[in-house]
Amino acid sequence: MKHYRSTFILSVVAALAISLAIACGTDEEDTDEPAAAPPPAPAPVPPPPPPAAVPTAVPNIPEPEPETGIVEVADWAPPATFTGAMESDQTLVFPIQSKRSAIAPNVEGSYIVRTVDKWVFMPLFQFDPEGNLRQGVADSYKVSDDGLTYTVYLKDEAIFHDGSPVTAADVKAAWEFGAFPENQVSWGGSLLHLNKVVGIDAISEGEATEAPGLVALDEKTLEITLKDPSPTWPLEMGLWLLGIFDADHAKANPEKKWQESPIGVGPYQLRWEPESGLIEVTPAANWWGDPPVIQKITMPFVGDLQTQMIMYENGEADVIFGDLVRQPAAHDPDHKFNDDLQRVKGSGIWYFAYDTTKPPFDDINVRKALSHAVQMEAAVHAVFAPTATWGTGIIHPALASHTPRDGYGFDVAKAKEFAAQSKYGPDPASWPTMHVALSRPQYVRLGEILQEQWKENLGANVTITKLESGQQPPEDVNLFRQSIGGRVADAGGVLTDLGHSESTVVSRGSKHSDSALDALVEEASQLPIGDPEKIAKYQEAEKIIIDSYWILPIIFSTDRAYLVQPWVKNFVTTFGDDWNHLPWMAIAERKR
Amino acid sequence: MFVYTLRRLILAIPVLFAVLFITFTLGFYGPGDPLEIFYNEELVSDPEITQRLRELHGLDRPFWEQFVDYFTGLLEGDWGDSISSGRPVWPSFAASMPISAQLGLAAAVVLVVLGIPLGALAAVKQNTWVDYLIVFVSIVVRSVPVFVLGPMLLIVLVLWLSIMNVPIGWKGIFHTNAILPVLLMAAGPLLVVVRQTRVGVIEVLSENYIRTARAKGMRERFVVWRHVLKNALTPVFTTMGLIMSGLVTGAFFVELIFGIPGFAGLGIEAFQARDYPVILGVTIIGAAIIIISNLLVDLGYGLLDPRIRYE
Repeated sequence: MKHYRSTFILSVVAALAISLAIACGTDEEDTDEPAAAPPPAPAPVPPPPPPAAVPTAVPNIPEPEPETGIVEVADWAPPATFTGAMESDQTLVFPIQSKRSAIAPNVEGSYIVRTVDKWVFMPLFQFDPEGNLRQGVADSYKVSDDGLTYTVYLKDEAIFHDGSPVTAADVKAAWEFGAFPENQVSWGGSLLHLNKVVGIDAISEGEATEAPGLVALDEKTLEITLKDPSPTWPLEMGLWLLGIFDADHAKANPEKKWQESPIGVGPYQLRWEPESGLIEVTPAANWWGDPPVIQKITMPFVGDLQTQMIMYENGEADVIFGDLVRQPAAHDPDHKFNDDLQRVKGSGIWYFAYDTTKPPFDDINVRKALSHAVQMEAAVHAVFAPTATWGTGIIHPALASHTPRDGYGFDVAKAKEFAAQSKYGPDPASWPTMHVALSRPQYVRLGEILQEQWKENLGANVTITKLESGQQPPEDVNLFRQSIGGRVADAGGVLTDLGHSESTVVSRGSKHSDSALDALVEEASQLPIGDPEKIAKYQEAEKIIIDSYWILPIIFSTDRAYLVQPWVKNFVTTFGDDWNHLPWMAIAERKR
Repeated sequence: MFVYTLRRLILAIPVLFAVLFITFTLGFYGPGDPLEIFYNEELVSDPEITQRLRELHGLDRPFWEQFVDYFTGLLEGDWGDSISSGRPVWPSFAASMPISAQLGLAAAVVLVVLGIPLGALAAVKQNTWVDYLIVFVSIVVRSVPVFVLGPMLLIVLVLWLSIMNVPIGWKGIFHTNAILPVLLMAAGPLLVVVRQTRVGVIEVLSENYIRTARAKGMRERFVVWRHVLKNALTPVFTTMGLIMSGLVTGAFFVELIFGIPGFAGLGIEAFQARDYPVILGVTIIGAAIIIISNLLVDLGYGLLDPRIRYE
């Protein structure tokens, strides 16, 4: 009996130990949990390898015809057709981690439906991965001499999924519908761009239902009047947020019922089951172009990322999100699916913003001291894997206005010098509270590394509050982790968001105010794309922001990625993170 | 019994009201703002639009006004609209509840079919290797969290043995996709049922009437099934009642792993998004399930033990 009892106890202990070991082993990959262990010491981190070259994307908007002033936009240049053995079942499975709460293009902020949006709710124009403007529902436009009025000519053959023609009045109705207060989202959605149009403000504030800046001159001609000249407007008309759908159908199906089977435009149509989360995309019966190859895209709701990876490994999922947050293991160069990673071009920046209106960050010497006291390059390398690109400046390397920089430079002596000049006294330990709230696990780790370096190199105490998903930061936070992304391949958006005193991003972060910089950014934004003067002004604006130490850049946003099975052909993404070649994508024989 | 049931149901009303009031108060005063939460951290809310939406959803009104409005709406059968989707919340409940109920019931059946016989066997074979094995396996299954056990099973069954595909989504309780989720849901509480049954049976086995039955020459199998189990199962029945409500409302990880659009997932999503109308609905329905489960357990006592009378 005694023997049995001891064997039993030993077995139970062993089982518990095994279970614990298994559980702990899995925690490492559970990216939703903040790191429990203290961060590694920053000093011995090996120098990172040179970042992968990022192709520069210069938006290419064609010149107007000299006689008519009309800008003829080129049609799509389809990629080479895949000619190998194809699967008979052209169904692509793309599991999604969270159920969508809406499907309308004007409020699509996630990367889920954005992937297919421009082929389901085709905008007036589109742009390809190289930044070339391409035809969408429209094929040409004309700009007035003052740059304020765009006359857009819709394609005669453009039709909705129900077969009815797409008219200029339909485009106007779709954009106005998206601006109604009840159809808005708090981050702005389509209003981020449509606010440039005369009269959209009044609609968004619930004071009007029609915008005088949108006039249907005839069935196929839409006149758009902007409040200020905006050379990037043709590119903005190509964003998924300005995608076109049948607003009459939407109005006739209230309580968002229309989104379950919206009437859009383009080669694909979409069906959404809000309760199960399933999204299915199938070829549209009414589409004026060549029929697409893939016959169905299924987006089942699979909330667990490990399950997604198991589906991928088993060949049941053709594409999954593969960014650092969701599938960190795949970013290890030795991982068996590392070659499947396809990174998305980005133009944004992830950074810390010092609240310049609150102590001690209202003192530039404090900001300078902190910025020079950290080895950001090594910290980024330690936290974000070797593939992340250290944010050496503000303008992304993929943009034409990018200037090669070395960041703020790690220099403890210099940092101490600045600290000594601070109005809050030479001892950083006695400075007012410095408090940052962080949520994503990678940023918590990064924050802990920086916290350690600030302590060790300066003696400064920075408090970190770890936030749960959805938790609001405490009131006394004065250091913010923020990120902004450019939706078009032009630095104007990022610089306006980060530099202009009236931008929402600035009002939520550094809260700085610089009228000269505001004027510079406004001026640059109105110059033609590709104009050397524009680029010079953008670079000047970037330098002002950097020299003012309002922000501490972390990484350029190149961390979005997909894991794509090798049998998925013609998978290409653009700045908007859409599947650029969807109509020409194909599923070859499912074997590695 | 009718009067007893009616009284219990009437008493449930203030309980549900208290649950509603507490949840509403926590939602109103707690941290987090449903209009500030996004899936994508590159998005920054615009204060003007946020204020406009707050007014549109009536979130800028005083506490009592919002509470009375919600409560009267609820009495009229209006569960409100989701803040994040703008859609009525009731269809989500109507779609997810049957799924969770079916999964929970199926898991309960598995628990009864596996747990009670195994517990009884362990008791009858007390302190033998059979007993140790049953308890050991139950402890192991209980010790490994579902979010570890689920993917482990998938790796073994799908990737190593290649005997199935990942059973994703909900295709009905009789579809093969439901087998693994149901087994996983039953795995956790199995130990509780096995141990409760084991303890109950061991206790009853030492009773005089069992000795008498054996002395009369009754076969051991009949002793256990006819006399022991019936008397040993009252505490198990109580436990099952509590487990049942947990199975229906608390299968979040199983739903997450297998992409099942159930009630627990709906609740968790709503909590993450601070979607108060959904949170309130989920909490009220969850409370109602627990109240009804407890009532059914209490009523079930009478069937198992004739000595119990309802007054």
